[in-house]
Amino acid sequence: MAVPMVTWIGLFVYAMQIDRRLSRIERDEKDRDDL
Amino acid sequence: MDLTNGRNIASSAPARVPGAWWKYACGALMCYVIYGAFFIADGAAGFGKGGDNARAVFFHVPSAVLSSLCYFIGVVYAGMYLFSSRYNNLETDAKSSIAMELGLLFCTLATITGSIFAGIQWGVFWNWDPRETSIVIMLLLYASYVVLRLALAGRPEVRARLSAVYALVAVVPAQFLIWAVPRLLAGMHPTDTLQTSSGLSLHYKLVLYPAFLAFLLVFVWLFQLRLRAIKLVSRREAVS
Amino acid sequence: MIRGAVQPDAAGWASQARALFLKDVRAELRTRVALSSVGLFTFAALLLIALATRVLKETLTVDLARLPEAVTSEQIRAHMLPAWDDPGKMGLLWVLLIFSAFAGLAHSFVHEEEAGTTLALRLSMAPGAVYAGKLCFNLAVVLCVAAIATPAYVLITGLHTGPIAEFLVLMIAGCLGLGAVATIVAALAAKARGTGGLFGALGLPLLIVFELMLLNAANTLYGGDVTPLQSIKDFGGLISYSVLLIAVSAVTFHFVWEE
Repeated sequence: MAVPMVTWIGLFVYAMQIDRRLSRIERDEKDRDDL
Repeated sequence: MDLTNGRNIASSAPARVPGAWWKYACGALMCYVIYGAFFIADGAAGFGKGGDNARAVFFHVPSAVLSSLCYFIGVVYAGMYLFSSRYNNLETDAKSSIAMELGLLFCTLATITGSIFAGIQWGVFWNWDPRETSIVIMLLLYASYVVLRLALAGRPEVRARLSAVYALVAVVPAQFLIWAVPRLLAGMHPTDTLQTSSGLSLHYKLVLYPAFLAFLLVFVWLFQLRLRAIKLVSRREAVS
Repeated sequence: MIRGAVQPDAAGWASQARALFLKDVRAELRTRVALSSVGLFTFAALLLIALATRVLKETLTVDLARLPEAVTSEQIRAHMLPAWDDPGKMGLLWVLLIFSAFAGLAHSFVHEEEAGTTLALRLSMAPGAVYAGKLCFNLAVVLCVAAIATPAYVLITGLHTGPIAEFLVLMIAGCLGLGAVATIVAALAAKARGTGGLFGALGLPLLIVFELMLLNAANTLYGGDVTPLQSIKDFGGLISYSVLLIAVSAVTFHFVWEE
């Protein structure tokens, strides 16, 4: 069980990182538009 | 809602992730499924080795089902791109393409988990059983779609049209693969080991149904991530 | 997009298709491009198969499960079967035909691009008619190749055809599917200006499924006592695959064809 669990948690964290970075870029783009 | 309190653009504060609640829920749900696959579900009767390898089923069946669903979604968007004037734009094409790529991913997962299952159950990791063969061919289909799009990388409009046509044309072999081939050819694939005469055991349902939901959520999340990334890239390109 | 001046009606459509078909036939007979590449490939492949399977043809094998416990040479000899059985030979025949078709049909739409006649074609004919004409031409090519290669193959490998009528149905249904796949994939590959590799990459998955069903139907052919229902299911599956593929191709062709 350990292997799938660790793999999944690693993937989840990675996906969350990507999500956060995308959100930040989107927010920056939106701010740029608003200006 | 302005999270930056009027600060200027290059803020380093983290932005809010859209839909964070269901993404965290998805993470937790998958952890539950992994835990449950090993500790909650009893081994299934009819499987060898005390039914332990049946645990791979919790990841194999949702992957396979989801890969077919992805193809269906990809084909629907492809049809919308070609035949509906309202959806005849590159965003629909992007959605079709993302669905097919994710279909490739889930198909690969299904093949690998299926192979693991076969290795434990019958000692051989590959048998050219009809369903195994079908899934490899499905992999080839997805891969061909990706190859076609790569060959047309510099021509977005033509790429959209041609890959949509290919997706639609490939529906015929895909449907034959999913429905007709396993029935036409007798195989070793266990078709009703999950269903006993009294229905699925409760413990199985406790893990299998959440597994479907977890995989579905993963699909939606990845789809959303890819779509957002593509939109940002195309915005940058349009501006520059 | 330049719209053709011709409004397609049913009768005009069919005669346009026939006109394109005849034009392609005449062009082919004049230049013999497809025929020569196909012919050369088929001949070479048949020769190679003849040489490579010389020993395999004569090899006999025995199914140990059918033998009694203590065996004598005579019992073994009585139970021996060819190692390379008829379904296997049929499979190899179709591999040969598929690659021959690839050799010949990959460029069915590229000729026009090179000769610069695409624009003229596009102006004068409805896309549906272009598709029908090209499809008929490709089917003719495949049928010709099959008609020549199959008897040669039967002679070389000693393939048993089983009931002749069903064998013919199988071969014709197979050629139909092969032609149908090759036509739409050739159109896609030509439009994508891909190399011959793209044609193969796109067409192969479509053909593998077809081949699976073909081989399954061939097993029916050699099965011995097969119910008519089973035959209808198998051959019906083959033909419905081709028909469905042609239908989808016909509907989506103009998206490939238009500029």
